[in-house]
Amino acid sequence: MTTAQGSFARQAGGEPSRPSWTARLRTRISHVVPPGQALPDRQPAYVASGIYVFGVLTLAAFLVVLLSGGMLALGGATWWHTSSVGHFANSLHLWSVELFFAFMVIHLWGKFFMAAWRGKRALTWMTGVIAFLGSIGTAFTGYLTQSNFDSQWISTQAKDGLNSVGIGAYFNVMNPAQMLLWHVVLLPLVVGLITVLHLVLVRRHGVVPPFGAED
Amino acid sequence: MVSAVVAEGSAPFVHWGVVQISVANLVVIGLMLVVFVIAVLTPLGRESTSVEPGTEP
Repeated sequence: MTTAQGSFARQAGGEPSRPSWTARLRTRISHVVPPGQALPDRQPAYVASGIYVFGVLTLAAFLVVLLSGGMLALGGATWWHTSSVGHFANSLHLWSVELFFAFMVIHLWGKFFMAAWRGKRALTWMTGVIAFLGSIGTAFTGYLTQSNFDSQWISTQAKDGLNSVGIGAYFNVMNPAQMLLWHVVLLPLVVGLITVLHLVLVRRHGVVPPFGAED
Repeated sequence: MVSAVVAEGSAPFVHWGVVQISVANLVVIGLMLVVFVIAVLTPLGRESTSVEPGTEP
C-alpha cells in the first residue's frame, strides 16, 4: 500500500513497498515538463519576434482542418458536392490545409535558420520532420478522397510511382475506401500524436536561444 | 462551369532547365518568402511581455 503522495509505505513486516503504477505514472507525468512550463505566460526576450508565431498558427490551422474534416465526415460526399453549406465546408477544409502547410513551411524555415536542434533539441526537430512528412501523406490521400474526376486522375497518376517501388499491393491509391480510411483515421492519428509529442518536447526544452545566447 | 475551366487551357508554367513550376505556385512561394522576411523583422510584444534570458521564473 502506498500513500497518496506516492511515497513508500511500511508493510506489516516493516519492509517498504514500491509505489503503485498509478503513483509512478503520476510522478513521471509531473516531471515531463519543468514546473510552470506546461502553459507558460512569460517567454525570454528573444521570443519577441513575429517568426515565433508560426508554430502556433500551424496548430490553429490544424484544429480548423480537423473540425472542417469532421463536418465533411458527418455530411458525406453527396453533401459536400451538391449543397452550398457542403461546398463551404469543403472549401474551409481545403483552405485551412493550404494555410496549415504555408504556416508550417515558414515555421520550418525559421527553425532551420535558428538551427533549432541545438541544446538537446534533436528529438523536437525530428518529431517536426515526421509531422511534416505525415502531413504530406495525409494531404495526398485527401486528394484521393474528393470523389471527383480530379481524385480519379491523381490516383491513376500516383499508382505507377507506388507500384514501381513495390508498395502498390498494400497501399492501393485506386482503392477509394482504403484511401479514405488512411486519410480520416490512420494518418490524422499519427500526425495528431506526433504533434502532441512535438509540443511536449518544445515545452520540456524551451524555445531555442539565438546563437551566442546559449547558457 | 467545368467546360469553362477546360476551355481555358493549361495553366502558364515557368520552365527553367529541369525545373517546371506553375506561375500560381511560384507566386505562392514568393508570397511565403515575403511573409517570412516580414515575420523575422517584425517585433512582437517587446514592451509588455519581454523577459531577459535566464531570468524567467
